[in-house]
Amino acid sequence: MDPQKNKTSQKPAEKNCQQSQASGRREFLKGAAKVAAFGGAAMLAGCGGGMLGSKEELSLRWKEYFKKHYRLMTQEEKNETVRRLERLAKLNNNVNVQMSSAAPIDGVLYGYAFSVTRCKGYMECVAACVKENNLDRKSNTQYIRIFEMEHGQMSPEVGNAKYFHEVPAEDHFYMGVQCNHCQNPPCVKACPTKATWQEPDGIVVVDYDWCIGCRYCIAACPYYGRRFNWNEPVVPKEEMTKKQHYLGNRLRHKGQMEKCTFCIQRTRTGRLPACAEACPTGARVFGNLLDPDSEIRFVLKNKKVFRWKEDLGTDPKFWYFID
Amino acid sequence: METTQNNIRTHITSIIGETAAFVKDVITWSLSGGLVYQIYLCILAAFMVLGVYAYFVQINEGLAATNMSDIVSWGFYIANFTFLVGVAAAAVMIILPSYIFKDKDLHRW
Amino acid sequence: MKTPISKICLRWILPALLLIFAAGPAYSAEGGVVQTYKNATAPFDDEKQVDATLSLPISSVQVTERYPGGLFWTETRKDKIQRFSCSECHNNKPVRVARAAEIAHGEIVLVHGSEARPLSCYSCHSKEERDFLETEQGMKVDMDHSYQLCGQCHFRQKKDWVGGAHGKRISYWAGRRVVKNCTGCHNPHSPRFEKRWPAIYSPPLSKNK
Repeated sequence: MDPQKNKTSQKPAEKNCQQSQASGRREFLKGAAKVAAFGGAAMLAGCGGGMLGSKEELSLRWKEYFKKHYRLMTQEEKNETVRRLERLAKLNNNVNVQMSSAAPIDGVLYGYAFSVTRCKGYMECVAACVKENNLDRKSNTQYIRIFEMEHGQMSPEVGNAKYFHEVPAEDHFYMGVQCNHCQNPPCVKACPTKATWQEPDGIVVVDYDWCIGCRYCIAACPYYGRRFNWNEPVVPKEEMTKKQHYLGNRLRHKGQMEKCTFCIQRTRTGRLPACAEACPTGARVFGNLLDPDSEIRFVLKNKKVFRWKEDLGTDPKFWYFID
Repeated sequence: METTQNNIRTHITSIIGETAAFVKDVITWSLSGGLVYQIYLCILAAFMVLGVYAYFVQINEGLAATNMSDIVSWGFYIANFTFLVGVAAAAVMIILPSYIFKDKDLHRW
Repeated sequence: MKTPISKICLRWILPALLLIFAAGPAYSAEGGVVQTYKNATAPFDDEKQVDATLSLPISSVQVTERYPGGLFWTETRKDKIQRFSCSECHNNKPVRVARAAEIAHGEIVLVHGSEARPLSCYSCHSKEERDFLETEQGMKVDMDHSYQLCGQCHFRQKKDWVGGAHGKRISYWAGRRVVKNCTGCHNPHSPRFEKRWPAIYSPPLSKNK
């Protein structure tokens, strides 16, 4: 290939050669296009025949693939995608789920307080969370970690979250950590696709279909609040929670991030999160920070409270208090 | 008007022609060599096939096939990426002077 | 030669601007969420905002005290006591019931109070009217309102319970506030939580551990 070749000074012989080359290339491209079309048609015929799924399922998945980001959807589009996901759950797993796309309640900012004195390490909260949020049983994903710490320690990093013995152990106290739903969340800033954001009621949520699984948010979160689905999650059908929220406990797939959502499917209807409801000692206090009469405000006003890794400036909404 | 269209068509055709010829030349040049070189190519091709198989395993099983966890969430992938980015940057820096100074001798090996 | 104005600008003003704009984001979260909630003094009308049909299907009784948000309720206790009402047997007549030895409260283990000063049955139960509890001052306390009795000694916990830092709210964070009463979590005869095994365990993250 001569870079000095100049088109305007072509000799007729070269021009002929070029044109025959051009027609040869044209023939080749035509042949290639025919092969590609034939191959594609064969694949589609195979698809239509039920290899990848029924026609209805394929059309639902097609629409789901090309839907907008949740934040840009109108309420109608949100309802549509929720209906599609319900129908897909019925077709794929034969379960009847009720998915909601409920908007945040006005005038609400959720806050959470954890009593370090009251927690005895029973881990009822962890069990309830796993069941409520349809977490993967195969890799034992758990949003909540309970650290067993010796008296005198304050940071969970030196605690032991992998204990399994009779509790409470002597000379130890228990501290539970989960996503802190920071008001200044580093994971939201780190996400390259804006798949995670903070809702107006304070909950940091993930649109699972928008997540590309880059795990940048795990690197950004200082509290290890986020989990990644390394494998396709396995949830037994009889243990599945059927009342789901689009941003909450609907079934995720491999390659998607997930996190504690303060049980968005419960809290937006006024119920407590599963962990707060399951705690047998009443160590967990949940409520609306903007309501001056709420229990969480009483705790913040009257108890000695602190937040974990306060110096990082993430402004978490998860306080610890002692009696 | 027609001559301009013809000019554009021949221009595009020649670009396609040159690119195709370049690709063909690269392929024939890189595949030509002695026996030892051919054996070396076969070994590399075997690694490629292994890589494609590993990729399909990863697609089916999910990233759990890499044995990465939430604690080591990027692992070898990020190390590989940052290293190769450095290598690519170095390669660009080496080649750049030959294009800036339009020095044919610098193009040589 | 005197330095021109442009060079002076570059030397001093540019770094100053950089400092201002760099320092700005460092102070962006002025007060943060703490300031946000401290500024929130308007009462939250959750009856209107949240789904109003939040009445719990449990029997509850209104607590005689008020918390900052007004009235609140606690669950009843009498319907959960198997042998209530006590005066069916304890009515100043000799107790003659079938299987008297078995149901004569023999199974109750009373571990309440310190070892030096343990409580006795009459520390809480009224001698005259067995359907009621009795405080130190002789005030009769209904079993549904046992917090009045417990709060005599455990006044700090009672204050926290009224406010919300002790105890547990039942099922809902919004709507009518219904909380567990003292005996809903604590067995009044041995109130300390027992040791038990955790409900679940957390497997190690890497297989090597």
